[in-house]
Amino acid sequence: MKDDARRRAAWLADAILPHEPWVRRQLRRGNTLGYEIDDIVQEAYARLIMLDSVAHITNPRAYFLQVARSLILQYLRRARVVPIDLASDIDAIDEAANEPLPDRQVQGQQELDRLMNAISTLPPRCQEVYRLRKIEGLSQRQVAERLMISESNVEKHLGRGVERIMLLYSNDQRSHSNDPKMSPDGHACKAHKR
Amino acid sequence: MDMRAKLTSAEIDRIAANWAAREDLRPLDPGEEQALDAWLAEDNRHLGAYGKARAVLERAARLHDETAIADTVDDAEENHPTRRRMMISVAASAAAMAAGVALFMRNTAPAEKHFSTGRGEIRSVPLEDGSTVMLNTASEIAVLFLPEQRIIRLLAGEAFFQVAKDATRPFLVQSAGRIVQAVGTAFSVRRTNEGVGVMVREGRIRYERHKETGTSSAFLFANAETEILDYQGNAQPALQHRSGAEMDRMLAWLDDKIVFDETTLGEAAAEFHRYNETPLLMTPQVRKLRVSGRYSAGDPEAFAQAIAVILDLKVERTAQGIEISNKN
Repeated sequence: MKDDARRRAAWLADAILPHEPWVRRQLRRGNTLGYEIDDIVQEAYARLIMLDSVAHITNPRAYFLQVARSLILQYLRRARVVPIDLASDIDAIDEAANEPLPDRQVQGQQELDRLMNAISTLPPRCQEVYRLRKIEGLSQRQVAERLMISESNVEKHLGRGVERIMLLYSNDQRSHSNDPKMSPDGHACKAHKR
Repeated sequence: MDMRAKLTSAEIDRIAANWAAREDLRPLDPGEEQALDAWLAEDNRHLGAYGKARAVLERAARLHDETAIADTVDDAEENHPTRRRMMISVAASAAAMAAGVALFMRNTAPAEKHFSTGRGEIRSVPLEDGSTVMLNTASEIAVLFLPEQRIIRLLAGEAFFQVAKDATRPFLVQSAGRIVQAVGTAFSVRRTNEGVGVMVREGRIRYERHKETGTSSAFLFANAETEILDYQGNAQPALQHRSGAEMDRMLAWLDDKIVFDETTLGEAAAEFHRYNETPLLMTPQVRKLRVSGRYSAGDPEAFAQAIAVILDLKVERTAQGIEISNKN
């Protein structure tokens, strides 16, 4: 399973990730029938990872939306609810899939700017770890020595960085990812610990 | 019913981010591998978040690579070799070869010219330096000529380059962040959902090595092909040597032809679909049959009729396309 994810990461990075904000916008525009967009998107990624091949996908953005949309239908079937207005939403989604893609040239620089902005909202230590590792390419040990922190702390700080960029591609719509959230049954979650 | 509290999406993302960060820094130990497997198996959303976390690191690396290149260009232009340059020396070999490519990323870039083909169209594009580009079906390139460099970006599909020699002005082809350099040669670059591949017919090219082997470059000589970026994640894509005849077969599209050599009908149908709207539809058993020969890329119907005779199949034209099935 993780090997599937590792294998597909480059394709996801190239073909899927940049379109996540768009897919979320489309989902928000339509009716998700009470299902959380965050859940739908996470599961959509899983479906894309589990595909045997992606060679047949000519329009990854539209495909991503399709997968998300079909998940809603699947949830519905499981819940045995028949919505009345779903058909019209699906039409709206199909129309949206034909919108022109953003200009690739402009996108690169803007995207990098947004990424660096996101990183700059992190605590200074996290920013430093991110910069030393991802921009200067130091090893885990070198980063630890340079900042005089433990190697396991290097992992934690870089984890914050990755989490922050994940949120960036969720379009910052999910509020306060750093706040402790309440889980459905009312316990405060300890998400930092595995 | 699972007694554990279900994690929120944000919590799942956080855990996934930590796994991906850890793997970015070092290989997991066996215990960790197991723990990760177990966590991924718990919920599809865990797998999705983990895949996204890996993708995020991959994308960030690409975006940073491009700035490293841009910085090198800035330094070169300001004409002082600087500390900055030392800092990014990891990327230097690629950067030196690619310096000009970074200009795309900047607002001040001179105008690029775009050329594209629709499905089924093959187009020859003469360039101002005497080179020619043949664009295969559904392909797009952007051409930028600078005083020190000739830069072509392959945005989609496949292109065959016949490069006019000019040692002072390298000819660079960039696709999906990978760069191929030629001085005077004939080669093709193809970009698909699975990666980027190059094929050299004459001369030699220099290309950026696959990520896992670091940012080094390697040469590829005549009658060889390799993948330079493999989205399927194979660490060392195989370098294949081809005979001149095999090369010609793979480049048959230059003459509007498709050549098969013991190719399954399934693959052949996919190849025809690159050039034609009308799909060749067939049952799973038929897809497995094999075919050899040279066919007109723009005439799937003729191909269908030909294989119907050779393999004793039935062909029917329907609203959906050309249906090929077993007789009886």
